[in-house]
Amino acid sequence: MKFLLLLCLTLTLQAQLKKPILLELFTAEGCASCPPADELISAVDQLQPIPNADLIVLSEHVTYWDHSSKDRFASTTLNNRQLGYSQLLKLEGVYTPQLIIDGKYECVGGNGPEAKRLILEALKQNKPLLELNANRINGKIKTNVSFFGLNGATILVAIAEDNAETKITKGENAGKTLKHTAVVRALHTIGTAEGLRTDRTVELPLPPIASNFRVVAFVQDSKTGHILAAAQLKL
Amino acid sequence: MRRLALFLFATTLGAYAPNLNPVQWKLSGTPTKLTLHATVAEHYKLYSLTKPKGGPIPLEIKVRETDWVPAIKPIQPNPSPTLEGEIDFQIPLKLAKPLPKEGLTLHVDLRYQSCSDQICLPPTKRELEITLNPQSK
Repeated sequence: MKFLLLLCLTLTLQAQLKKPILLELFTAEGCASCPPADELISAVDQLQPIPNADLIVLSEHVTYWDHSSKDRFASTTLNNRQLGYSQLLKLEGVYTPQLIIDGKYECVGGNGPEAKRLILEALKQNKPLLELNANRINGKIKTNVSFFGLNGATILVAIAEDNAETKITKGENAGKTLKHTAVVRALHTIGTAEGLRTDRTVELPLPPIASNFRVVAFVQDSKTGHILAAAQLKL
Repeated sequence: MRRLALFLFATTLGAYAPNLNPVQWKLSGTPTKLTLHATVAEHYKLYSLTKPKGGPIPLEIKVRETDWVPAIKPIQPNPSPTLEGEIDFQIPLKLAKPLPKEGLTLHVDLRYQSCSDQICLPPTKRELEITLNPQSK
């Protein structure tokens, strides 16, 4: 009964708050079509243009544009994440810049109107409140995640650099200084939701990050890829 | 910045559905020459054999070596780092010995990347084959 009351309180609270929507941009520094999408995601992060949405962005750099020039933010973990979405969403393949919205919808990363349409669609889905606390302690990030329900779903935590810049010397973007927002530097699976309420605390290694960073926690249905809850905290 | 950001979210100039298979290939030939024909979809470009280092991979065309066919270097019609529309790559053949009566099947392996002004695709591999007959000219 006590849990039920808490659950009702949480859902009521959630209804009063902005709904979190996770926007994952698969991008690369060697990709000639990506800079407009990087700009768009940066603008969305700063301006939060949809009034009742808390748009949580992540820039996820993939390695397949790394011919003779390395994108320092790219990793095969993120390649695999993009491939996973391609299979779950039954897409024809992967490309950059690709925007995945709440693990459920996808569009070309630079297509603002389509992204907005899909975000409004994603807003129709209710999500339980995810409480996130994070502190930097002795070179680690102590992170606590708690929420009700979502039994069996996967809990993930991304450590993302708030703002990063790279001066590109090779390829079609040569000569440009590319600016990135919420660049994923580490992505951890920290467990699975269990029972009526999940409360998980972990200590995560702090990746080498030049500027400020944010912790983004989200709960994902492993069968469908849908994002069921999300929150972010800027440190 | 604010004005630019709102503009980006509100408009997309020339948006079109992404084509994830924008390059079509066709192989034809005779015992003296193969022709590899590429058709690159509208809005897309193919990174060529001569693309400089950095970013996407350059096009690779490899004719698998056999007792009849040693290593071959394909010829690109122009030196541009990116190619669009219809392109013919010429692959001259110098057979080391006469073709067998039953014909000879050659395999050509391709690896390439392509981009439009809106999306870029990861490296793609294709395998093509052609059977050359002694009678074909």
